[in-house]
Amino acid sequence: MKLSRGAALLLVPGLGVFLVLLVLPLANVVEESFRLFEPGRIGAAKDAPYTLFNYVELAEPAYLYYFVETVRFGLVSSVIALTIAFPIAYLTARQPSPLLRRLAIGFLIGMMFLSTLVRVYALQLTFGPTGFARLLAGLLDISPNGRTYTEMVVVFGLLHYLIPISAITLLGTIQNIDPRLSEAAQTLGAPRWKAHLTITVPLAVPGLLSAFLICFTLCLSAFVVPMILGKGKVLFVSNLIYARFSEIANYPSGSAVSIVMLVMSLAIIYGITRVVSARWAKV
Amino acid sequence: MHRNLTRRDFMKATGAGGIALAAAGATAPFAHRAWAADPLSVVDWGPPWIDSTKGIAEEWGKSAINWTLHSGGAASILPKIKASWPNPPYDLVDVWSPVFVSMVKEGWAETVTLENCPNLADTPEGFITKDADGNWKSIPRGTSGVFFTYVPENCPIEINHIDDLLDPKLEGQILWPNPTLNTNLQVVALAKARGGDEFNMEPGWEFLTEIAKAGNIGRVSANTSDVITSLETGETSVTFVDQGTLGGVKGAKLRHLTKTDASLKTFMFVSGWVVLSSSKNKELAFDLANHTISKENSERYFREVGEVPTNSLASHDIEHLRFAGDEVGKFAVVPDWDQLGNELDNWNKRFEKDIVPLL
Repeated sequence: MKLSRGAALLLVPGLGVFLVLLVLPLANVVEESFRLFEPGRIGAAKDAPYTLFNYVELAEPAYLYYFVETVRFGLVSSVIALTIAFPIAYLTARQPSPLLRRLAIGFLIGMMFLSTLVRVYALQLTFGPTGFARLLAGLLDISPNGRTYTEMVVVFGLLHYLIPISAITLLGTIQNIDPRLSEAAQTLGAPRWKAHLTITVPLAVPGLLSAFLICFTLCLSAFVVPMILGKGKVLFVSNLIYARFSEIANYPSGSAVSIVMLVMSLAIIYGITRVVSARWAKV
Repeated sequence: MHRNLTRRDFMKATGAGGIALAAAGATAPFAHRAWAADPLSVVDWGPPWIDSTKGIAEEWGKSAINWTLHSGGAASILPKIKASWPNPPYDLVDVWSPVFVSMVKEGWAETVTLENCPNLADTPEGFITKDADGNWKSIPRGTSGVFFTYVPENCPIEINHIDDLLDPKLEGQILWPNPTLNTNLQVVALAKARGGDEFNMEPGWEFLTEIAKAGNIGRVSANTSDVITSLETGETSVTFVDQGTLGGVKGAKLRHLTKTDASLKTFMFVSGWVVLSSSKNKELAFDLANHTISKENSERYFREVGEVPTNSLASHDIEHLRFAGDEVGKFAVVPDWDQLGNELDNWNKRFEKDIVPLL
């Protein structure tokens, strides 16, 4: 399609905003990531030489640990969120009472507007030392100050905002699936669970993929949840970036971690989309 | 005469409103510059510091004040100043020894004299940070210590030696500060106990690795509220912390390990003001800083924050930080702040790489 001159002109403001607010800051981060940091300074000096050191040090296995941990939490939390959100979205979409459906949707949207800080501190009060930490850890036979309990609370923190957002994402998908397909399968003798798993769920795969990608990217960039609920033991890559920029003032290293994280996230999301799309096309 | 609102009227009104809003937004930076001469902008730590300073400033009453809190360690203000230099939105910043060094190195600290800060005459010159030319660059308020302390009521053992930190009964009981808190003096303390110091940190990292492997670290603190909450709720019972932060711990009775054993060192530091050389309110900033270090306000600072006043006329009674002649060499240490500032980046990475995965 050929772009007319008028249409091209209409694109200029949008592209201008995109250039100023995204491309230029990102280019600045890329440039900073290749600068040599002099300890004790605040950021790199203007005439600091270029170096690959900030990237080379990230190749150490110890740093690989943080990237793997961040992805692990992202995958686990996203899968749990979808598992919980799908039935919520299904029941909401198939709810015969319009009032109850509106209430359920309103509740889910309301959950999304709740401040992340409020959610996280609510969870800390509930599952932290002032709440039920000792009781819950005792029931699970683990230490409230141990790694397992801390990881569990971090996952709770992530789920708190992943579940509403994935349920809302799935709502539209499920609403667009004709319930008569499942009913027809049941009429022909398929048990209810089989009709659901072989008809409704496969038809919802595009929505599930979208919801998963939203959850996963939100987890990768999560910062407040691990910072407050992770007790300094569970750190995501975003926390490493924050420490470098805000506490150590090593902007070059912080920039390098940010760029690696960005590239890695895009690669993972691209890979997942490709694999699922290819599989989906065959079904 | 009644007239219906047409679509064209609505569009006109919206357009005019938009232009007015845009104009207001575009002129805001100029307006900000014009108003900047009025309120003083002061940065301080959270309670008890800010509460005490606010009270003193209220008595002073010569200017409205915009207050900003340090987020985490005082060093976290440095990137914010850097990002907005030469127009940072701060006039007066409350920091401590290692941050004085960084600010002087960057050329951000205004020179202090007895003319703009007369009460400094009562402060021993040794407390004042100087630049390479010997100019005064800081206005000290208090001197204090960073040391090990614990809550005997919640701690499973009595701590008398630094090796007690390895006791298996302390599982999950230690609140270990992040390297950016106390400029990592906690690992310097471990290093000194095993023959090292800030120039030879290997023994300290080995010691900390043993503590982490033993599972004794229950939380890594990142700010003062972590310390207060964790100790008061009984989540943890042992930590390495500065006297000022302990002023905020009201719900737990602590035993300070400042003069218990030579293996448990206390690191002495100075805290106080820096007037930014970029400030448009230097006169007011110096006046407030001068007011805070008078004899009376220094004593008030001691009572409310718990740091030993640097004003030699002010009295105090913090026994656990009063070292007799022979105790100084045995228990107290004044570290090389320049070395700490230079190594903090490496130490933070070392902590991330070697310690966090063990927690």
